[in-house]
Amino acid sequence: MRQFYQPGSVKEALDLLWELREQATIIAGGTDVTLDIKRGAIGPAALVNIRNLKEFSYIKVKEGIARIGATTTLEELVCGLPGDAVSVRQAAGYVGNRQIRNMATVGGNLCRASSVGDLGVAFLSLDGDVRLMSKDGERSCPLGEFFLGKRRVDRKPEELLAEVSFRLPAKMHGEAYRKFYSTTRKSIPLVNIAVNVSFDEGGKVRAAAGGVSDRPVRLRRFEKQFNESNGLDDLGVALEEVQRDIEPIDDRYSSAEYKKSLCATLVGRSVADIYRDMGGRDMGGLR
Amino acid sequence: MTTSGDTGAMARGMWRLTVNGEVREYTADPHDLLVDVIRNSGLTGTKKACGSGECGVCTVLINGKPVNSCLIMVGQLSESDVITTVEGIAEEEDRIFQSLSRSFIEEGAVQCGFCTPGIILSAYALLKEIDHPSRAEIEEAIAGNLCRCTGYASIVEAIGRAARETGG
Repeated sequence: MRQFYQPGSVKEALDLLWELREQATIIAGGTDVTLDIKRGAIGPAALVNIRNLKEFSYIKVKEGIARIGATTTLEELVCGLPGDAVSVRQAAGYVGNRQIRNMATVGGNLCRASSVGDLGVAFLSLDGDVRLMSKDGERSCPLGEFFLGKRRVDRKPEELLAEVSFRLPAKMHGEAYRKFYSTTRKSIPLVNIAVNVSFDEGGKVRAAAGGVSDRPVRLRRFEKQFNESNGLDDLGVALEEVQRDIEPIDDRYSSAEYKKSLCATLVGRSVADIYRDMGGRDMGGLR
Repeated sequence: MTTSGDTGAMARGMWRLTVNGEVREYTADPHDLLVDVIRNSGLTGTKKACGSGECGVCTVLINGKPVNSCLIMVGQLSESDVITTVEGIAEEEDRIFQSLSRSFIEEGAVQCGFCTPGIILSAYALLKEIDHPSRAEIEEAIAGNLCRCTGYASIVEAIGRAARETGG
C-alpha cells in the first residue's frame, strides 16, 4: 500500500525525505507522477506532496538575478517572468496545454530531466543554477552538472529542489527558443534548442539543445568557435562544431545524422535571425 | 486530512474540500482522483475520458484556473484550494456563464455535448481574465479541450461572441 504524505511545512517535508530516502517520490503538480502511477510505473512507496508549501512558489528578481521557486507553475512562469528571458517564457508556454501548465511545476519539469525538456534547455542556455536543500543543509549546482543522464539528476533522495536561478539577459540581447517535431509524433519534439546572444558582450552566443543526447546539453564547442570568430560571416564553420557537442541516437522517429543536421540548422537560423533583428540598430564596431 | 497511526501518512477517510463555494466532506483515499470524487458526489457535469490530461473533458477550475481533474489526486489538495465545477458557474446571475451558454446554443457550438462543460470552463476562465481576447487567445485557451464534432470554428465564434457581449 503506497503511503501519501502531506507535510505542513518545509521542515516537515525535509524530515520526511530524510526518513524515507529512496522510498519517497516527491509530488507537486502531479502531471507526470499521477500518470506514472496510472501506468504502474511507480511501485509501492511513499508520495510526499509539496504542492501546498507556498514557500516554494515565487518569482523574484533582484540585482539582475531571477529566482524561481520550485512549485511555481509553468503558467505562472509564462505570465509572471518579467521583462527579458523571452526564451524561458516561450519554452514554458510550449509545455502541454493550459490545464497542464496550471498544475505542472518548474521543479518537477527540471527533475523529470527529459532530454528534450523545454525548461532544461532554456535555463541551460542562460547558465541556470539550481538550489537543493535537505535536513543536512543547502547547496547550489549549475544546471549543466545537475542533468546526469536519461531521467537522472544530481538530487539525493533526501534532497528537495528549492529553486532555479539565472542572470537575466543583458540589455542588448537577442533570444530564441525553437522546437522541431516529427510528423508522426507531434507531442514530443525531435530536437529543441535555445540560443542567447549578448550584444553588450560583443555578440557572445550561448546555446543549448535537447533531443540530441541523453540529457539537455550546452553547445560549448559551437559557442567557443563562434565567439572567437568573425561572427556571422563564420557561422557556417562554427555550426560544424555542433555535431561534436552532441551525441544523438537513431530512434524510430529519425536517424542520428538527421538530428545532427537539424540541431545545427535550428541553431544557425536562430543566430542569424537574432543578428538580423538587431541589424536595424547601430551595431557600431560589432563584427 | 486523516492520518493513520503515528507515521503521519494520510489514509482513507473524510476530506474537506471547497467545491462550488461550500466546504464539503468527502470519503476518499488520498490517491483517489479528483474527477472521481467530484463525479461520485453527484456533480456529473465534469466528464471523464482519456485519463491522461489530453482531452480536457475533466476540466475544473482550481483557484480560478483550469486544470485536468483526472491528473490530480485528492491528497495533493488543501482546504484553501477553491474548486469550481461547471455546476458552480451555472448561476442565473453569472453574466459570463449566461452569455457563454446563450452564444454556444446560438452558434451551434454544441453537438454531442460531451466536451462542452470542459470548454465552457476554459472559456469562462479566459473571459474572467481578459475582456476582449483575440482569436489566437481564444484558440490557445481551449487548446487543451478536444472536440470531435464541431471542428472548433463554431466554438471559437461562440466564445468571441460572448466576449463581445460581456467585455463592455
